[in-house]
Amino acid sequence: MRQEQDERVELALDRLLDAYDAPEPDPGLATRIIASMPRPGPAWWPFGALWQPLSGLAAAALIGIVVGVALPSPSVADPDDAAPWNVAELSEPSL
Amino acid sequence: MSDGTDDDDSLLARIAEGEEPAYATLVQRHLNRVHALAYRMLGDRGEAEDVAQEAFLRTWRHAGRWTPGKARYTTWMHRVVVNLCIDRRRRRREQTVDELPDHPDPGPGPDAGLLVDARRRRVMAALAELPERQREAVLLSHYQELGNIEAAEVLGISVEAVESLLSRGRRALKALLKDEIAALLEDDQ
Repeated sequence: MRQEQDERVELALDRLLDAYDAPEPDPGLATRIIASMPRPGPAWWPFGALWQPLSGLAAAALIGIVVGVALPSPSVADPDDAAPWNVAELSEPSL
Repeated sequence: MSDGTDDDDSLLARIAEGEEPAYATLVQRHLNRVHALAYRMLGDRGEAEDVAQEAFLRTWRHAGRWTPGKARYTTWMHRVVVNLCIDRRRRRREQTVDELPDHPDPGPGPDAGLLVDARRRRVMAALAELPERQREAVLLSHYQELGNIEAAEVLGISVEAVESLLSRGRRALKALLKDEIAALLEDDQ
């Protein structure tokens, strides 16, 4: 009798759990997932996604420009401050 | 070859070669189950969709390393989804309490709220009250219909531990839903 009641309770719990149905995913989700798949690079580039090395190059170029603009140009330095072994001195022919 | 009846291992082999139709077939085949698990773990439709997207992206990236016959794709995929959901739940806990929803998203959309019956809401609330591992075991066993061996592989624990989690989880659910169970039993008589 007790075992039969336990089984009925277990079945009732299963039926209750079944009431918690999950919603269907958005109809466009599958399309979005497939569209977001990473595409391989062109045939002449066998090293995976092309955007990665290109982004690296672009980042390096940007850093170069920023550093180049931020640092003072050596060409406008005061000649009096120049080191004694400056270019003019070094350019004299040695005997 | 592309007749839509390929098993998951064959599809993964084709995906490893960059075949988009094979990827589309795999997505169509498993999306509903993947989304349902993520939804039930997170209680939020939008987050479940994000998890599904990330899980399939991982499939694409891992396809080249897939060893046919070593494991079932569904087991691997369930494990990925469970781990992604755990990460999201952990991040939620780290947020301030004010940002967290009090209750899970009740249904598919704002208009559907009226159609969601009280019983469904109570089951959702009861599941949300379970400790995390017990809830995962119940979700994998009842909703994803995994056997205890497969659920153990997904959760990375022993079969005995899964059995214990399931037993404790169902006992807790019976206590939390005792009124609804009594009403159902009464209706049957």
